Formats: sequence, C-alpha cells, structure tokens
Amino acid sequence: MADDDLEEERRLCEAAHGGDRAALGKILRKHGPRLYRAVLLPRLGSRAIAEEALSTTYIKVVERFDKFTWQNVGVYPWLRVVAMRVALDILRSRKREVLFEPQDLEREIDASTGSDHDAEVLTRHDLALARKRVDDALSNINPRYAKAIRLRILEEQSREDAAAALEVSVATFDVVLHRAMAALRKVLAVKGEAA
Amino acid sequence: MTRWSELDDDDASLADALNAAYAPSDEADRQRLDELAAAATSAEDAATRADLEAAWRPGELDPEVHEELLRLALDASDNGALEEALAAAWRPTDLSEAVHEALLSAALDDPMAEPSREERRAASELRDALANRTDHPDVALAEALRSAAAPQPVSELVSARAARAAIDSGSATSAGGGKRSRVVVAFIGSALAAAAAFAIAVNIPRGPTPTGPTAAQPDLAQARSASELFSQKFERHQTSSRVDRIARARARDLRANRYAAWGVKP
Repeated sequence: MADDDLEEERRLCEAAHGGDRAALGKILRKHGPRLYRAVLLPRLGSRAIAEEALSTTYIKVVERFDKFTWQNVGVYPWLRVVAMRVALDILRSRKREVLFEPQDLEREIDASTGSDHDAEVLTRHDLALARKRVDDALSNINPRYAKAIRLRILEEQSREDAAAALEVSVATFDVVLHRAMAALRKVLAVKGEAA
Repeated sequence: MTRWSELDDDDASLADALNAAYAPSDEADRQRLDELAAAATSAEDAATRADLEAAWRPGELDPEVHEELLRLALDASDNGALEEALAAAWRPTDLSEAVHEALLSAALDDPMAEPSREERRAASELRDALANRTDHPDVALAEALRSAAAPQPVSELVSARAARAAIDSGSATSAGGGKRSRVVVAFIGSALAAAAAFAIAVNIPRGPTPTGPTAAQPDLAQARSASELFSQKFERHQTSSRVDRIARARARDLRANRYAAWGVKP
C-alpha cells in the first residue's frame, strides 16, 4: 500500500477510534469487498452465506473496533482475522462438503497473529490458497472426472461443449459429471475425516 | 550410491526403503524388503539396482548415507518439508484405509463404464439442478468449487448496505437506545405444523428509509402453505427430509425478504 494511502487509513482509524462512524464506514467500504472475495467466499463456498458472513463481520468490527491497535501494514490484517473467525464459526456449524475445514481456518488465524503482511500480499495468498485447494481436490480423482468438473463447473461451459471436449455424447457427459461429483465428494469426505 | 541430500520427491520411496533396510521394525518393513529384493533382481539400470540392493540388505546401509541422514535431521529444524520427509522415512505410518479406498476409486473407476439405471436418473437430476440452480447437494458443491477457484466480487450495494446496517446498529447501541435493526422470523405452529406454514416479518426500525417515488413497498414473500413444495405424498419415516426442504425454502424466502427490504433486490 502506498505511503499516502497508509497515512490516510491511519487517520481514518484514529477517527473511527474517536467514534467517527463515517470514518469506520469508509474503512469497511474499502476493505469489505476484498474480505468477501478473498476470505469469505472461497472458504464458505456460497454467495448467500458469504454475504451474510460479511454482514456479521461488519457488525463485529463495529462492536470491537476499540480493540484494534494500529499497525504499519494497515487495518486489513485485523479485519481479515475477524472475517476468518466469523467464517470459522459458520464452518463449524455446517454439514455440507466444502473445501476448507474449520481446522484450516484455525491454523490460518494462528498464523495471522503478528503477521506483517499488507492487504495486497494477504489477498494474493488467500486467493492462491483457495485455488490450490481446488486443484488438490481435483488431483485426487480420475483425470477424466477432473476435466469434466473443470469444463462444466469451473469454466461453466455448456454441456455440449464439455461433451465435445471429452469426445463423448452429451448424455454420456451427464453421467461422467455425476460420477465426477460423487468421486469428488468422496475425496472431500476423506479429507474431512482426516482433519 | 545416491546420497540422501540428492533425493527428491520421486525418491521418497527409496528413502523410505533405506530406513526400513537400516532398521526393519515390523512385518510391514520385512515385506517391503522382500519387494525390494524382487525389484533389485529385475532392475535393468545398474545404479538403481545398486541402490535397491543396498536398501535390501539390512545392516549394509552406507555409513556415509547414515551420517548424512543424521546431519540433515539435526540441521533441519527450520525446514518443515524436510522434517516431514525424514519423519516419514524414519517412522513410516500406515496408509489410512479411507485414503486407500479413495486412491483405489480414483485409479479403478472407469468413467466410461455403462451406467446403471439409477446412475442415469441421478445424472439427469444433476443436469436439471445445475441448469436451474435448484436445491441439490452437488449444486452446492459446484458453487463451493467456483467460489474457491474464481470468487466473484460482492455487489457494491450488498456491501454498502451491510456496512451501513452495522454502523447504524453500533450507533444505536452506543447511544444507549438499545434499538437495533432486527429481523424477526416467526415460525407459526407446532413442530409438525412448522411443516405447514410460517410467517416471516421483516422489521427494520432504524436506518435509512427510502422516500419519494422509489419508496414503493417491496414485494415480500408471504406466509403460505408448504404444500406447493411437494409434488407427491411423503412416505412415513421421511419427516426429517420433509422439514429440511421446508426450512431451506423458507430460508430462501427470508433472505429474499431481507434483500427486498434493504432495497438491494426487487
């Protein structure tokens, strides 16, 4: 973050500490979208749940901002930990398959304590970690299954295009995709048990 | 002979073998040595054969390799990957049965095998669910994958509204008024009757109230019978899934009502 931006953020944080809600609003508007895209959505796996988590994160930030102490890397690392704690609570209460386990977030929160990385670095780290999770999960299933999921789910190609890429009929592709999702579910279940 | 420091990931099994050869501790190690013996006999490459033979004969581990191993073990306290590799080589643990099953499935499943009738039906359901974004476990899993691989940005409106709601909420609390924006979900009826209907009332007493021509009352989901959720009569002993379906549908209503009340979505 540029020095000017950092100084402006420090000034906003001071104002927010003094009870200036508009200043706190500026901080949240600046960093909220980043929290959603890099921290909440990849870990929670659902837009609706991530939006609610962002709302909860904001409320917790407002309630606890007096506990924040300024660091030279800005306020984002602190906001990120608040968001991860919210995500952790949600993950603990969920049953469905997701790519992140509560233990993953616990480790990340622990690793974040005393971190001196700024928002840009943390965001790149979070996005890369999430993408790696997907790659790791897909690497544990049959390559043809992985390709079906990449084409249809990740790249959102049409059934027809995905079937052509796999050189099968559309009806056969439907079956392959169903089997692929079942195989992935099995892999995630194993990972969950191991965690 | 290959030095320990020269081993890369692909040589992990050889590292494993070296240690098993050095101090075979159980039947699994001895069995592994037998396998190595067979591999050594058949290996065509001379260097590979030499390595395998060295691993095969307990007590014949090159002392230099052992020294190298010890030195690396002592010096590697700050190298997590190497520590893990050494620990795996020194004290190899059994493969988890569940992991083994998953590996077998990945290797043995034939993606092109003739599908059963049940598989065809499930594949059709998934096809429709993905197309219509309806409730289906794999639709949720697909969303989780997309969210992790390429998370989309949050709507500015959603973020701004949530920020304002949080700040207004905090202001109200700090002012001592104790009034917070609140969402009241009222479930009407007994536990069984919850399957029939419940009402959702959204009440946001604080915060900005739209005025003027854009202040039209949002179209909120109304309390209604749950019968529309079921096309056929439920069998006995399926009450849990029935209530789950109602709860999911009403949760969607609640979310839609909240967004409508905030003015985020029509």
